[in-house]
Amino acid sequence: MGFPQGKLATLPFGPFTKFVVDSANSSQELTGAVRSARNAYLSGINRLSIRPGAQVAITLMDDQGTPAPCTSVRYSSAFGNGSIAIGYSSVTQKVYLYRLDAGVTGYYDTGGTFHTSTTAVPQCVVWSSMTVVPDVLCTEGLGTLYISHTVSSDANGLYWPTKQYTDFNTISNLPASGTDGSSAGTDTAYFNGVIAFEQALIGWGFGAGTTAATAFRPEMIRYSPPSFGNLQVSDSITLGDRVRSLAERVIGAGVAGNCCYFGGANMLTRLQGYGRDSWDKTPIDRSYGFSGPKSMVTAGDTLYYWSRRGPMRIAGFVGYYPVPPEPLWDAVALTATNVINSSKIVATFDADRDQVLFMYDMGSGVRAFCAFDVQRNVWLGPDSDFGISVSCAGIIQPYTASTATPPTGPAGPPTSASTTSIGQSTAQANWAAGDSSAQTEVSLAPQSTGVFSVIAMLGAGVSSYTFTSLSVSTPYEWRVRHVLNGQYSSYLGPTTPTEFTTAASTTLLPPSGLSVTELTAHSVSLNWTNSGESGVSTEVWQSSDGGSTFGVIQTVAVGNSSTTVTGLNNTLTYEFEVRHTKPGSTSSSFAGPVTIDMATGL
Amino acid sequence: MAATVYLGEEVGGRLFRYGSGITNIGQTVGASADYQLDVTTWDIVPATEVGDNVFRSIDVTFTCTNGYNVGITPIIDGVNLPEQTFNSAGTGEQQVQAFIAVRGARIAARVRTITRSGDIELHDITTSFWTIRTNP
Repeated sequence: MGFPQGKLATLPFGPFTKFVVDSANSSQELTGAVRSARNAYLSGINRLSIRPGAQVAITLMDDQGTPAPCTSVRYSSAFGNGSIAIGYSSVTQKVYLYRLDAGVTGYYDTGGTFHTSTTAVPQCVVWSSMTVVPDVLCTEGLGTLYISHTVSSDANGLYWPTKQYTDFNTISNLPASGTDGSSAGTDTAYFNGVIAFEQALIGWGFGAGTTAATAFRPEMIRYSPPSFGNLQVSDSITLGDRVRSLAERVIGAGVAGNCCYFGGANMLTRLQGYGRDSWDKTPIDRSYGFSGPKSMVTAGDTLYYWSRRGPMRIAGFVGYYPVPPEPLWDAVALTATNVINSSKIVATFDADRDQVLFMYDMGSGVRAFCAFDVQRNVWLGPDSDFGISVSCAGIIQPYTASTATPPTGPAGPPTSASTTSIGQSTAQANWAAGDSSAQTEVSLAPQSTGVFSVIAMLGAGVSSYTFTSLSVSTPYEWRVRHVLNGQYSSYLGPTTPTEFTTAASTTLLPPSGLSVTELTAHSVSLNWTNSGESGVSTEVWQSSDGGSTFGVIQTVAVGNSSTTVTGLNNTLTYEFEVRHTKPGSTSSSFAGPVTIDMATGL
Repeated sequence: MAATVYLGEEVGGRLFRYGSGITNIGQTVGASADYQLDVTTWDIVPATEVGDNVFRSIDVTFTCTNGYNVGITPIIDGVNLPEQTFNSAGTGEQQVQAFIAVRGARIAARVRTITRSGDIELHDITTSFWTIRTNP
């Protein structure tokens, strides 16, 4: 071959970002530069990076005397501020729940103590006597984990009750309401799957009670009221349009945006709303649904799922009129055709690389997977050398926000109650401070009602309070508690030492030594000696008709023993008398009268 | 710290942290137990389908974090030529050229890593050629 005469030229095969990959469909010309990319993800404009591998994070162990690894991992997801995993052992025939940290570096024991380890000890047993590897679906709602078995019941029986588990508490069966849909019943729920959506717990394939043939409704979707109250057996949504059909059996569900999508083998139904008054069901697709209970994953606001035809996606934020699902299988058509056991497909989302991963079986005994780059709308793979058969996938995001420190409350409640100085209208409450730096809230209630009213908020270090303006001969009770940084201690009282009854009514002693002296032609001065009783005031009574009628002209304040009377007529003779008064007591008898003639001053 | 995908194995009790290692911990498929990048381009046809070129080289640029061992397979008119391999220590931007001297209308390339001691980021794959005849 001679040396070419033309000019040397160059052409790029890229950019890679335009490509659509289908290594199984090489005869199809597609726009772009790359026909197949295995073990790759797009790492920038025109850049392909080799995919990282995977490391063993932890091994789930069974509960034998000498623990052995579980024979299958059935579920993994975030839970609380850590994560959970569910494993199955064909040796012990048990399904185990494991509490792990967010980084999956160890496990929590039943007491909540964390152990850094490469092997995990079960937190509890979910189901026993299980001879077949289970498929497990879980969801978390308001801090409770709900665990369901995808074949929990059928027309012949109820087998694996749905479980509920809260932090380090005993796992228990999920109760359902009675069949009338009223409050809590004694039945146990048997769901084939559960999902939390819009503050409600939603389950499907419900069975309950003892009559499996009538209770089992595989096309039914049951839900709790908002806040995860009692599951209402009578409140339900069907998947499709017909009343009862195994063809409409619910297989799985996924939440995207403000929609929850339920899928059967060949249909998809959208659910929106916030409870029984607003649930809105819209059948979306009557051809393609979910291929398996774990074949769907949410990326952004879009649900990606594997149907019996191949991968598809549907938007999560839509209006009243549904937007149909978008097929994605056309670019990987032959790959989709070659998938077997599609009911075991596992979908997950690698947020670091914007890839939706579908893991499936192509008959080689080794799971393969392909990836869809959700930002650039291109497929990568399929890869046939993943090397392990995957049964579940979970996305776990460690909490990175700093932990808020709760305010410090009182060190303890007040103690040592006593009630002293009980009078007709007063009483003194006494206590010992449980925290001398805390304020004290004082409450009082008549014993007849027991309804307390906050009387006072006392400063730090104060350990007594005097109640006033009490009614005579009335039973009262008081209670106190400390307040520090907005946190309250428990109450001291009401107990016997904080209960008291005010003194009965008494007659006051009279004043004495009343005398009168003319000051001017129209005024006089009155003087007397008080009885000495505390809190008494003095009423001054006057008569200008020779003592036939008296009337009150003044009330002299507590502690005073004289007063001046003015505005008198210098031609008349007046008579004066005084007596003590006090709220809650009977007024004293009068002192006087004393007489004065204003014309003579005598 | 970003969200991490954890995979549970179907046969065994292990939970895998996805995207954080090099080694393929499962069954070995092919010659390597590690994840290997394997990219095949679509054909490009510089002088139209019935034109004629002499293809000179396939040029590949990439970065590596701990050396590289890559193979380039030229594919002329759908026929694979012998794979040419390149390896070196080092880090950073790298260029390798697989020289060929073959006439043809179409060219494609397969670029793959053969063994792996670090990460590879593939930046570009180009070809150089002389056009002999263009039709029309």
